[in-house]
Amino acid sequence: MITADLSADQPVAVQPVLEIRHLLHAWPDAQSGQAETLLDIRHFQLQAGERCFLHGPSGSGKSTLLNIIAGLCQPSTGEIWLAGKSLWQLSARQRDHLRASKTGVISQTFNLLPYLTVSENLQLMQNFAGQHNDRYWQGYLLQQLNLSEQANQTVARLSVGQQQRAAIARALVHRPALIIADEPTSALDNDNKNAFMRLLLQECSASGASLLLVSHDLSLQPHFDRVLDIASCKPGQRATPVSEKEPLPC
Amino acid sequence: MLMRLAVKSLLQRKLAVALIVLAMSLSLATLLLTRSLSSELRSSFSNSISGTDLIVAARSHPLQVLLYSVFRMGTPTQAMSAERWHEIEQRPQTAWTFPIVLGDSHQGYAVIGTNDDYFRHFRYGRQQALQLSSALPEINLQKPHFAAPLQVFIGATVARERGYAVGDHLHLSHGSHGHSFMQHKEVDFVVAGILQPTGTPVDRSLHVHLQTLEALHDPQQALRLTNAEWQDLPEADAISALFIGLTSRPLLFQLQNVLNQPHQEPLTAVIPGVALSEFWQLLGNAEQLLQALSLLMLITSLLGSVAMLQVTVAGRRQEIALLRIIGARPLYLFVLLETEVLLLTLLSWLLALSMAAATQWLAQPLLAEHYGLLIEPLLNLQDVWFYAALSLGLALLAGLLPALSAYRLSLTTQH
Repeated sequence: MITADLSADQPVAVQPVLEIRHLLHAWPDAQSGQAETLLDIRHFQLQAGERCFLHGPSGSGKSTLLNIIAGLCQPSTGEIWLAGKSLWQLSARQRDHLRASKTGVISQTFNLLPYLTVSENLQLMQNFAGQHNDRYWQGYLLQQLNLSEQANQTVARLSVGQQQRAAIARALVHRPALIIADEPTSALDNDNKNAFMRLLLQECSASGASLLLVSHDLSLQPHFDRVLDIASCKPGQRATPVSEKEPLPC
Repeated sequence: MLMRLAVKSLLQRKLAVALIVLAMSLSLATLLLTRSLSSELRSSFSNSISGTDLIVAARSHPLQVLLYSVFRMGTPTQAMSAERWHEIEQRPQTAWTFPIVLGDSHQGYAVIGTNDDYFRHFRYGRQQALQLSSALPEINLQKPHFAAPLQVFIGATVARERGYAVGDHLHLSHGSHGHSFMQHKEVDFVVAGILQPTGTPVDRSLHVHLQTLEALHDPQQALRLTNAEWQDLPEADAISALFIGLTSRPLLFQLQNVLNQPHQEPLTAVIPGVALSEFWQLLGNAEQLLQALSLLMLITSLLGSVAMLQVTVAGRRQEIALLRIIGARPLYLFVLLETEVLLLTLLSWLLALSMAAATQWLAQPLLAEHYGLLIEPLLNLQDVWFYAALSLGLALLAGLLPALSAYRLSLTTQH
């Protein structure tokens, strides 16, 4: 399905962290059983250090898109390039390794292993990314996130605020090129939300990671370089990303 | 990290894990105990007689002869005449003999009529002789003998269970049931000695002199029995079985053949070792059945643990998705689940070992007391290793199911 070597088309100087080409994704509708096209992205690039806000209501295929980007779900057609590698030209093992080493994930439920300590969650992440257990760096990160005292506490015992910060630390500990955040603020009140976003953006810029954040919450958009409405990725719409700082239709 | 993940993940589900471990260790312990009990039973069984080359009785099935002569179960239907006893005794191959007469009982315990040769030649276990733990002053503890006609030597179990001490008086009953109508009430026996525990049917027997027993069954003699001297007593004219020791072992089959020949008074000559192993083969089936049952129990509890893990795999969808998204390979999840099964089994195994050891240690006095079984409170190491390997192997096999489920779930589950 993927034949062309498109690396020649890449700009030589700056390689995008993430590039999507000619993506079409469809799956059977729950009721009719007919294949229904859900995503149609002709071209999308995310540069190093860039922050992109992907906006859309629930059920609009945001999570599917994130799964496709993470290489957990194979699109019907199209190519996903992550850190210069075409995901579906890799073996399953290489893809798992690429995901572990190049992306950091923060989700709605923070997705930490609840029975491990904060420290162990970080170690596990570094472990999967194929890195050695860098205690010094972990300590620094936890200190930055004001979690030094909670390092050896079980995640299940942390407050929601502490869990968010631990999730940021986990997403950054292996120095990924891309942070994927899926509705990370949906469980938070306004004050916590703003504090979380400030911290997340601050840590992303400190590490130089790109950020792709998916949410239905439009109040987050001022934090981003670029805002993309997932509705525009639906068939019938112009399937190209909304340009920088372009106001959303709603 | 994998090990820590597995341990902490199991600790997450303490109750389920505790129940599974309990079930698994109970069945493992049963398996171990069955094994060691049956091997101990077997050795205790074959220890019940040694040193006797032949047992001769009136013609009947060899197993029946074994049952009543060695295990004191039941009574012979026919007696053997004293003439044949003396004829055998005279044979050049015969080193020694002692007779036994069965048929009487005391509160459910068998009464054996015999003579001093019984104490001289009876051997059990590793050629151990009968010795007394306490006796009247005129009797040598190492070499018991009947010093007077109305003396009785009782087994260790009889003494303990009925609380008899040396010098106590007791009556015998005719017939082998505890509540016989006919009691030899008029005759008082005195406990002359208490035998040391042997772990054999001897512990549950009472021994009186054969001539005394003969007199007891003659109403006229019985009345005069009190204060009687040896010379007043009649010679026995029939016995139940004769135990024979030979001068040389190679003569064994020859003599057995001769004794089994047709005769106006036909006899059956039994080689105890051969009859014992035949008997054990009969019991061996029951042993195998018990083994199969406990193996089945082990499999059942393994299935239980698999069911638990299988259920938790479904409940761990989120955890598996998370591990996937942070880069865990499907194989990693497979190994994680297998590790959990392995840990469960190891834990169960340790618990089972301590349970089995504790049970044996606690049950040893009870078994000795109620069944006369002397069991070493030690597990057979070879068995322990065998079943450890077996249960771990089965566990890994059983763990394939949840591990494969986790593997497949990890391939299809999306974030």
